[in-house]
Amino acid sequence: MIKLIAKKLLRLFFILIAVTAITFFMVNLLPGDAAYNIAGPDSTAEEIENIRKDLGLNENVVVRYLNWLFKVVKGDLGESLLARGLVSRAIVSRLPVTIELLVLSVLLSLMLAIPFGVICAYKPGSLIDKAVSSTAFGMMAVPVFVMGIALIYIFSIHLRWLPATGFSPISAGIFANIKSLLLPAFTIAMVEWVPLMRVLRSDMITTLQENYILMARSKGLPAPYILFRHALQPSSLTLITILGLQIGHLFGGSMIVETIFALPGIGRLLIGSIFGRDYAMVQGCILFTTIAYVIVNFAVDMLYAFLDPRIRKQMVDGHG
Amino acid sequence: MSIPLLSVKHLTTDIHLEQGKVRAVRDVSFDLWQGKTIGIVGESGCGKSILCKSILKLLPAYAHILEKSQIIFNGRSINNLTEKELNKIRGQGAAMIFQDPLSSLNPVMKIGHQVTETLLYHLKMEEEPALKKAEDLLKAVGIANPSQRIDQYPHQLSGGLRQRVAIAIALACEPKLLIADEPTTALDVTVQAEILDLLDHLQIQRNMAMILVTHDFGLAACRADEIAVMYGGKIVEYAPAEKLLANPRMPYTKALINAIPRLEDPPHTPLQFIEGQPPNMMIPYAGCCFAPRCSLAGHQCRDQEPLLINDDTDDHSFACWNPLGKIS
Amino acid sequence: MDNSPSIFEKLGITFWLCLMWIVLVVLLALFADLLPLPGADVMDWDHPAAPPGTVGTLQSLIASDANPTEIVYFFGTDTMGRDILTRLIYGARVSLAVGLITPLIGLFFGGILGMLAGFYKGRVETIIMAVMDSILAFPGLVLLLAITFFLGPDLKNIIISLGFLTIPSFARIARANTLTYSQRDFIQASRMVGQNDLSIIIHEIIPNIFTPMLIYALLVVSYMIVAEGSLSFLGLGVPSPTPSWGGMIAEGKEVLEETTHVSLFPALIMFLTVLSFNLIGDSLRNLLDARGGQL
Repeated sequence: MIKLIAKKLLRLFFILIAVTAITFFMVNLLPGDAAYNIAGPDSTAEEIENIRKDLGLNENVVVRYLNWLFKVVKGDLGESLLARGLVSRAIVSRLPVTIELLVLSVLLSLMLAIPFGVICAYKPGSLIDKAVSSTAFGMMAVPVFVMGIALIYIFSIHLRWLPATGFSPISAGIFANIKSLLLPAFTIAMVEWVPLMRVLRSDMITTLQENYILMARSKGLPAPYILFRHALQPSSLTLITILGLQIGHLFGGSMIVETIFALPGIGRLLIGSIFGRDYAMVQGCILFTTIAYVIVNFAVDMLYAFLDPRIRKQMVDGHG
Repeated sequence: MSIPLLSVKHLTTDIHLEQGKVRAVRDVSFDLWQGKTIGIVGESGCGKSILCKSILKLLPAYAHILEKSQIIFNGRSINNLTEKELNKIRGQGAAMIFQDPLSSLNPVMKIGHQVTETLLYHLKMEEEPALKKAEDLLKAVGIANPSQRIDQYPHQLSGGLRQRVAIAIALACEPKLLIADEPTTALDVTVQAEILDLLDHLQIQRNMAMILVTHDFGLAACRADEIAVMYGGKIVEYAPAEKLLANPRMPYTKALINAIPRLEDPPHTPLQFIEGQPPNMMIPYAGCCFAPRCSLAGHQCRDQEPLLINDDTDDHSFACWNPLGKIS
Repeated sequence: MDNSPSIFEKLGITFWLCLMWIVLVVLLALFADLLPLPGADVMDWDHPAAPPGTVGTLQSLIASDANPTEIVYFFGTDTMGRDILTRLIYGARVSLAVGLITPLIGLFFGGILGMLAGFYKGRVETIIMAVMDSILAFPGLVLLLAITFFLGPDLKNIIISLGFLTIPSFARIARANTLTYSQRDFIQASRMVGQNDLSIIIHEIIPNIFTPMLIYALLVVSYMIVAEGSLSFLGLGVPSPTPSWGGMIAEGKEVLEETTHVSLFPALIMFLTVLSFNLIGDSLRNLLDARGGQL
């Protein structure tokens, strides 16, 4: 078991090295364009040269990477050109919004995926299964930004239930806070629940053919109890894997929703910095979201093993 | 007891597969009185398992019980019961144990919970006394340290222990009928005997009726009061155990009896087996479905289906055109 | 087996409808210049955000032309009075270019890397798959933004960076399929009689793994169209004034309170196109699975 964790930790370490290296070299190994692109099309040759100097583009690349990495490890992501402050501070201040959005959207997508997945698996091929499955298939073709606009149109312009944009921090009251995040979270959920529902449905169909489900039925237990208490947990391993991948993706993918709904999260910080050509901030955001993505995936990988006592046993026995 | 606890009449079950319809259980009828055991014997694929599941309506969606079938349990027809009423019977009236004790216990649920859930649901017991009762039940089925076992998962138990747990679960709500579908097939021989003795003991203690399904004629012969031999979805011979053993009328029953290995046989005696394959139930067959494998089969056997009749005594019936050992 | 349904029947009506839609979009995009359309950036300031069906007049760009031509805006105009239908058709060029070319990049490079990994195994496989996994360890959209940020957003860069991102998944599929096929007797036999590796790969492996790879590529097409749409929606895609579906949707969002058609039509067209590619890929995969079952 310890050997397995060590192996996974080693892998995590290498991926982190790769990820930081790619982030770093992306700027530093690309042709002279980089400085030009950062400076923007209206810049003079002098400005470009200054940026090149600022970035230290003339020193040895490996030395620069190590110096930079050393600073990053200490939490120093540099200083923002535009915001006139530390990049790390800006990221930390935006983080709660993104995390809150993420948690809420994950909850909402599970609230959609689990009941529908279970109902469809209970009567596969039935009218309700066909209806839900084809709706889900159709929803896979709706990009998240289209979903966001559609929901804004329905819920804020047409029905006037929820605000279309703007964010109320928790300090403004938990109710206002959640209300301002509900539509963005629902936008993400409406797109992300589909793969969750599909894997749960297919795994559950397999589980429902197991003997212990027959045994549970022979005990005279009601169908909803059997579905949720006996069948759900053994059917949810793939669901959790996909969910983990999604959480990772959302860390990097929340920028679209944050932009549509004008939420002050990490994603919007990144987009804003790109438009503002705030080099240090862009690098910091990319590095942060990438590392968050890698670590979330690692955590899910570990969690996965602990959820199923059979896998836990394999790991303890050392067969894993 | 004037009426049987369980009365099955003309039970017929179809299974709809992609390749077509299979009639897995054909017009099966039998009666079972309280405290008695009926053994249902046949090769794999003869429809025994489907028969068991049909009785409690535990069939998959692609199986269908025909209208003419009647199942009367405890004086009440279960044909038109709602799912809720059926659940009442499944949990409290009749319980079932299955062949493979590993796969019939939920792998991600603690033993304690699997035993208590019927107590909680059917008997509306509280959590605490239910756990106490679960421990008693586990003790009753011969599990040594129940308070420790209830916190374990099925994979931490041996095969024999798991089947004991399954029995404890089945007995939790004191059912009147226990359906045991090959309860010992997946177990070691030594454990088999222990489990069967346990079942015997519990049956007498609780005055339960039991349906013992097995492919092992020897096992049925020494544990059951009556035996029904199934072939191709039908009961082909049905009699009290000792009568059937002493005087089998149907050549198939005879062949099954011959296939039991005997201890008094000298070493290296070749095992008797029945030549040919069990019938393909997809293809309808006009005559007796054992005819292709029967050495005594004549034209009539191949062309016309024999009915279940009794020619000498009330309690011995068989379906055969050329029965063995006519008592003159 | 004589009266088994033909391929045509097996694929079903949905498949053919989707295919017709895709063909229509491709043809319109290809021959956009030949169609009687106003230019994609011709503005009619008299009719900004006009509803579908409005009849407008176009001031020709050539000053000497005194007679303005009449035009019907079937899908209405956008906020700058540009014909939405025209912009949709020209926008299809971007979406289709990205959607159809990027999977080819992934198919080519990923295919080669995956085949090498699956065929030679050992250290080659370890190194190739470790690199692929590291790329996959990146969140795609962030990497995409980073690349386009540093390279500058134009169609070529978007296609290259998106194509790069699809390489690992193609490599995985190619590897898995190659592994299965190189276990087969006929490959083992070819190797044993000393046929050279390149010849085995070209004659035995490629023909066998090509179909599953192509079907996967169809699914990638939808991802890529959506990814390009996301970039354009964020304003980081193909720079204006080149029309793109994502950019049009973003423009429409600004006037959503007044009128819906500005974002509705591009959203609808994009949805139908992505859905069609999904359905085509799905039907073909089912067909292949069914055929695999028969073998």
